[in-house]
Amino acid sequence: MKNSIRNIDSELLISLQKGDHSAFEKLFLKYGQKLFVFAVSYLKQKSEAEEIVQEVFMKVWKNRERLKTDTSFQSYLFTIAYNSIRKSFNRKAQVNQFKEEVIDQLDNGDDPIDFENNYQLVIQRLDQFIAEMPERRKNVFVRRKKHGKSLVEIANEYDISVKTVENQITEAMKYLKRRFAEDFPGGLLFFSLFLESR
Amino acid sequence: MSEKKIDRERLRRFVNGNYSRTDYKQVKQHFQSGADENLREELKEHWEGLSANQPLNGGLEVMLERFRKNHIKKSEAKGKSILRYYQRIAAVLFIPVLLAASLWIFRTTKYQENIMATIHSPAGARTEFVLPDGSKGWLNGGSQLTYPVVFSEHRDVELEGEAYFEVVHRSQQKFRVKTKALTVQVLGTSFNVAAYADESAVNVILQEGKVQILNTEDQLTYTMNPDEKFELDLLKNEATVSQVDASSYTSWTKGFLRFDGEPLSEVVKKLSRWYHVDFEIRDKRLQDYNFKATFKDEQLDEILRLISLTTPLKYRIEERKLNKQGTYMKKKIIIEWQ
Repeated sequence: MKNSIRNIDSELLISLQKGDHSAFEKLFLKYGQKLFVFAVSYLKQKSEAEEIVQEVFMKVWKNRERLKTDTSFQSYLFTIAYNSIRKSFNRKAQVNQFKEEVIDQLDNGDDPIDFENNYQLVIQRLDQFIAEMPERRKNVFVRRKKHGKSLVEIANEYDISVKTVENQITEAMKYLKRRFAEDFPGGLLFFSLFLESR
Repeated sequence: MSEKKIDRERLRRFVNGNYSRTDYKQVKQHFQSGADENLREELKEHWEGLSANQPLNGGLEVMLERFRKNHIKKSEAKGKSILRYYQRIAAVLFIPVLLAASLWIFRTTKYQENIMATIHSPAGARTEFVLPDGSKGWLNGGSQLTYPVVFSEHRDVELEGEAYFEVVHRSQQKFRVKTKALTVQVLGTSFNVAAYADESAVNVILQEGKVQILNTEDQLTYTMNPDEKFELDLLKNEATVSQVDASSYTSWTKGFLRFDGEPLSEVVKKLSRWYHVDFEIRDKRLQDYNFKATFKDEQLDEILRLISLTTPLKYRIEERKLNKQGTYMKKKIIIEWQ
């Protein structure tokens, strides 16, 4: 079975080497969606996964004359896809690093908020909560946490005192905690009841 | 902390989308570590377990269509299609690249403070710009903006035409937009200035923050508040301030063409800049009709048709004539009483 798949592929590859577009199309129809499903499992975003598919197939077309027709096309696809996905994953993790840090800071272990499970949802909510902050507070918070600007730099940029910047960030963290407490009541029910009755 | 092998269960949970914070952190660690053979093995197994020949989703179908088109072009003119693709990108990138290049060249010279750069936005186009201090905005069609490659004591730019600015705040360095009739001075804010050479009025619309209007002698004339329109009538040399909805004056940056109860003469001016055509109104009675409308991505024909439905006018498009240089003149539209 596996052998016959390989044979069909190698026929397509021989045509592709000669610049046959229909062979390229057949390969795309065969493996495009598979590649997409694979990439989206790790990147979690449709657009990013589609970029991977495009990148991989552009490489296939560009390198068509040098493709080896006797080895598995599938493992060739995997190798390019693996490298692309990994690069994309790491780039994204870098960009989202600050969210992870904010969550870690919010989670001091005292509150009955479940930051641990459902992490994908936690991060989505964090994005939403930040977006819903008042404009000035959001800007100060993003500059501090995401761009790593110092308090003094932010104070200068907005022409406000360092103390005000500090307050804005404290308020932002408090606000985030409140929102998370509403959406992710974890731990003991008793605790959350206690929190509400106050 | 660092485990040698990735926990297969964790990776599966991550792939399926139902993962914990610890799961994510460990998966991330494996992705980031230099050469993780184990991760590769796991992913390979995942890859091999997925089935081929699945129907493409919408996005991939579009992608295949794009590939197809590029390939067809390729067969028409061998080796040109990819080049053509990049040429198209290059055309869009051309101005910024050129500016960046000149910036780089001039930075290395000692005369950088006197070097000016000019951005022209051709009629019918809207051009996004970023200034050396990071302030940005949009330049409307038929407008130009001149600025020093390196800002000195003040951030002075010169505008002819219309632009929308979002100014980066700097308390020590004022940002000033100079037009022939007035200067707008700001610390950091967003606002719209329209100072067309062919119009008898200059107006400034403030979206947020505070700006000061200076006269040609740099004396303070007025301090504006958000959602105000400052209009200077150049013929009477008279200024008026009115309350407006600022967003309706800046909507052109998003591709909207908006008329806010304006007379036909103003409408026609806007249309001629937007579509790069000339107009001739042959009946004076028509000039007093006011229009209120918003268009997006509409053909000029369609706009004219809609206007003619509500007004006793008819229009015709004159054939484009050759001028002396052998190039075609702008399309001309004649508007007459119906």
